[in-house]
Amino acid sequence: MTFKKFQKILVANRGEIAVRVIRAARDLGIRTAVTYSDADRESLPVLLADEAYRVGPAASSESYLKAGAIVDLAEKIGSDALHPGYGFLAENAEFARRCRQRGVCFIGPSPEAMSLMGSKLESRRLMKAAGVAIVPGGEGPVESAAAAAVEAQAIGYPVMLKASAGGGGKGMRLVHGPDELASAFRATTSEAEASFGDASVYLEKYIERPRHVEVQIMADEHGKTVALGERECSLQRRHQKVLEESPSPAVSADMRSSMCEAAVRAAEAVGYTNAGTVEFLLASDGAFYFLEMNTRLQVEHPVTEMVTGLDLVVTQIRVAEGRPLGAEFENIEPRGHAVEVRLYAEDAFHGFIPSPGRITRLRLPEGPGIRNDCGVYEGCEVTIHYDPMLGKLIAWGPDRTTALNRLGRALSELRIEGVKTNVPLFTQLLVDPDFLAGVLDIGMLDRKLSSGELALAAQSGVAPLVAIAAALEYAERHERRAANVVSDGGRQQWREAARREAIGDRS
Amino acid sequence: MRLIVRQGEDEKQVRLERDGNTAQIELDGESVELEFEPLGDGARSILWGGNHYEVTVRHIRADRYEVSGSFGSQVVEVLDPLTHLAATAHDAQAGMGTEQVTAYMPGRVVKVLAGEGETVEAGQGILVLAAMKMENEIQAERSGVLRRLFVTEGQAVEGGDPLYELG
Repeated sequence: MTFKKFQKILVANRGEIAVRVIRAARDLGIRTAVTYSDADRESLPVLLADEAYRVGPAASSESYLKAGAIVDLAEKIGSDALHPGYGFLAENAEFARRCRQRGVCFIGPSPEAMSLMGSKLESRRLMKAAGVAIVPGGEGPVESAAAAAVEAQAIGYPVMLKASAGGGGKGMRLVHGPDELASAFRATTSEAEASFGDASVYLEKYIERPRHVEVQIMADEHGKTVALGERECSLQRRHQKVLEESPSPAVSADMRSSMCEAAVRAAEAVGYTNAGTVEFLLASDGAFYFLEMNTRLQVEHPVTEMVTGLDLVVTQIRVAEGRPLGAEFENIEPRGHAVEVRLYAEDAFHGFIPSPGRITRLRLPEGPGIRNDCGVYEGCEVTIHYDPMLGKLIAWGPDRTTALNRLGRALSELRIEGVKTNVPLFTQLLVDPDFLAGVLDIGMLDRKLSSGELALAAQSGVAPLVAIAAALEYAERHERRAANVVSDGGRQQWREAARREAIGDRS
Repeated sequence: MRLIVRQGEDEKQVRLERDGNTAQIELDGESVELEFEPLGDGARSILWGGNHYEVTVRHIRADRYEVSGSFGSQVVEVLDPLTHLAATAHDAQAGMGTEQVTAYMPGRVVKVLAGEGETVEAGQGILVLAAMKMENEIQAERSGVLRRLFVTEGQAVEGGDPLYELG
């Protein structure tokens, strides 16, 4: 067989994932080009890439989401392939289609597979047909309380009544038993009518405290689809993953093989190619249900790489070139344990509000089992324009305990100054008994944060070390200023200093 | 030198005597000794009580400093009792046509930076006071005219002595 050999890849993304793709391409000897917005001219991907092209102003709608301009650019600079990273245009089937029309290989699944998996209802129907378990529920809206009672009995209590047009947690009601159903039906339909102008509701089985467990798959263009094991992603803050690990502490070898088998079936049902992730809800009784498929490379792909020894981004490129998956994709068993934390520029002590600013000091941890997928450097600016993720810190160990110990050690070595970060959250998690025991569910982190079990209160009062350090700096600063007065006769310099301070210049 | 480190309601009195890279510190009446090494850009390695700490302090503006380390980061105010008083005097007399600024502690005027009748801007230095080996610039809290200057260079002042009047 002869395959394509990419000469140049356009990386249509920013931050740590752009850096990740540049590294993979360079490992393969492929030239890299990267897109950037006005806010990212000095960003790490631009510094690392062979070529960099401005695509617009800071707002992503005017730059990283400009599908037409990006396809034009790919063609103009002669890049034979484009990697979309995650987010932005990564799951935009229309964009993938345009790339194909213009002869630029989109490194990812086909637009057809992307569209099928992009629709909630369609993918649910397809999965059911393919024999992949979905959250049990009705096929369509229920017309009356009596009809709902019949259906609820068939599904088994507890059930959720959901507004067909609902979303974002609105228009949902938990029903524990038949006696609650009639009033819940009335309340939900009238709420649905009032909120969404559509009174129709449907029933779904309520799964109590589920875990989010997902399976990484990789499929070549020659009909081979493999599952690369699972990732445990139950630790979420407001539906946003913050820590992921592989393997899942809740998944046995038997469960793994049936989950992996289901994931492969799901991918094959839509003729999927390249890297993808099949997400499942895992109930406490061990049953798992298809949630959705992410038709792209995931943020948390490194934990799978750490336990399989594979390079998923390199594989994505190889597969896109038309190469078949090699022997290293046979009989994959996880080796050891990996855990990843997402490092965000946000103030963990004040409701996790984004904390933009210049990174004045950055010291990344090293040593056995540590990997940094970092998108920033010391001196660079974290702007308000994009998701404030700085990078990911990944720890590997022969077992979960060792991996977590190494993560703790790495976090204690890590220094990020100039912006606030969510590191205090992880420091707290690493001593939480439930987390250490691997007892997780998707609501756990939010519950522990709101109950105060994870104590992220701002330190009040002045600790002795803080007082001493501040006093030392004050003394040195004033000594320098006093020296200025003496050496210069003073007046002008003092005025200058005062003026500089007044305008916030700290030079 | 004597300083007040404050966050909200809580404040600590710090008395600091430095000798090269060692410091003798009295913290709320308790004596501690430490050694420190600057790491550049406000970062310091501090050896204290058999422990090592890595702490970075950055001046934000005016009296505010951000202290960060493995504990996270915190913003504190560091006040010299002298400037502290100037601020207090200003607060007490806010709303009046002129305000008199007095010295809180005994010291010596090492430099006068503005002359009587001069229009000064907020933040502009009026004079430099030395107390406990440290020189402290006393700055105008607001813009105005320097109505009276009660001191001259080299003059010793007692706590409570008037320094200048701003109109």
